[in-house]
Amino acid sequence: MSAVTTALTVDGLVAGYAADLPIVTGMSLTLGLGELVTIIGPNGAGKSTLVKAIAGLVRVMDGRVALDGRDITAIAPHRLPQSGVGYVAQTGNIFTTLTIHENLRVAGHTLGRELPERIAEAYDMFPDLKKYRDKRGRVLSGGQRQMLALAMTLLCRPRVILLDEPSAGLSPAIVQNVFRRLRGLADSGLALLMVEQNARAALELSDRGYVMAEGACRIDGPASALLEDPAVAEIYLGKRRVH
Amino acid sequence: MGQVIADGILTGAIISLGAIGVTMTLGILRFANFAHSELVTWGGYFALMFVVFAGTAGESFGPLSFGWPFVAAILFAGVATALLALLVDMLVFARLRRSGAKEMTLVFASFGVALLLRHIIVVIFGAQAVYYTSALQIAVEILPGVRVMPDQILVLALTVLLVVGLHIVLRYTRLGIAMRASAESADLARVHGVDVRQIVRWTWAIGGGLAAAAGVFYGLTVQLRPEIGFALLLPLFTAALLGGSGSVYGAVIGGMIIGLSESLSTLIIPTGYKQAVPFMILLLVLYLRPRGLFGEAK
Repeated sequence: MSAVTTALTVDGLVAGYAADLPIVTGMSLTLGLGELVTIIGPNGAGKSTLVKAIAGLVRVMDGRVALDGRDITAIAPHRLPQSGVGYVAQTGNIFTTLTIHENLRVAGHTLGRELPERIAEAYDMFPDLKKYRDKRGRVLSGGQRQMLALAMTLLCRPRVILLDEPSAGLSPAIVQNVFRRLRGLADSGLALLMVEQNARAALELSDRGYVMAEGACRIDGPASALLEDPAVAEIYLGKRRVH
Repeated sequence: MGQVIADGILTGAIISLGAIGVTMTLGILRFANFAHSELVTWGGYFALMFVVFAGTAGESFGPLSFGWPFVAAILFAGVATALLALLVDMLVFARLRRSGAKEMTLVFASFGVALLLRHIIVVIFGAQAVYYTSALQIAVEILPGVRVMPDQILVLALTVLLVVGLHIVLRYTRLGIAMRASAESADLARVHGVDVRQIVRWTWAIGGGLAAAAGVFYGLTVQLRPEIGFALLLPLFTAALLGGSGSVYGAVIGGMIIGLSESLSTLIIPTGYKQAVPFMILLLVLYLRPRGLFGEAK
């Protein structure tokens, strides 16, 4: 594998909702430009909490998050777009009461004059959205919502995108579609970190993976190696459920 | 009948302006602010302060009871009430939010704020009713049997203007769209770069400004009393809930329905029971359609 430029570094992160009850108990990872990295692990492992903590949505108690060497630990979430980080939540990642166009306008809240141009680019990239331009978000199907969420995140041209279970609630065919889009974004030079329950399908398209359990990393390595690792397969790839 | 409807529309306009602030606080800050109607009272008295200090010298506009100085008084009241709302948020609600207080804590705090605000008015201005001007106005007949004061027509026109203005802000501007986005999901708005604290401040300022307009209009067409806010509390909340919490258009329509039904009720029940009408409507709304007419199903 060729050397990649590290975009995001997470070092010994401890985070959670209550000060005395950390959910992420000391997680470290790196994410390079052009990489698609997947975090898998059982329910309650702290995967979602980890990405939320990186995005500044969950309290960070210890550790460090750096973007291009710059400290962004416990960043105020509204500064994410300007810092070059996009975050796509698992649920509620679009505004259902706003029109598609208004959703994109909110996503470009921090942009000035470039906003109309960026929205036009988004419509070019996702022609379906243009068709529904003046419809409210709630009329979109699951797959279309995921595309809008992605279009919204891409509007500020992030270098790093964090995705919390982008395949949740989607049909298998749509999941493949979404994953291919994500692979394409990584290939275009962005750094993508995603949390997935759909572990096998996600790893098949990823460069590397981290296996999380009880708030920390248990195993990490190239995605292909994780897919072949009997321990990972047995515990996390659906052969046995662990609680 | 025509007269009763005209009176109802006027009351409805004042309730609508107040209810917009209530529904915005419900939508964006997610709590029922029982102090909001006191901002209506303060708005009325801020205009009075301006009138007392600056005087109302100068010519009146045609048949209206006031001239340019009172226009300045209305603007002063709007800005001062918006600042008062921001001050209350800074001193009370923002601190509670930061400490992670639950919704009910904020609601009870708002009761305290309401009492405090109301009694400061009594301390400063006394408990008696006051008027902006002692000039008498001649009512004009706009339709056969329907007589209204010129001031009342102006109040209605200004209300329409304010509501249309707010509609334009919410529908088309960057701020308005961000406000609606924050009302639906503050976290999602945040990760897209919206500084929700700023949105909260605008919510207070706009709600306060509109409450001030309601107060001034009430003072202009009825009278100023320290209990205006207390008397409006129930109508404002009923209008907001009837319209659907968070829905500005719902609040306006809700306000009109409350104003008209209060007024029309006097045709069949004694006037003294008029104030029970919003209560009845509130009960019906909560029983039959708790999310209101235009509320989003949750």
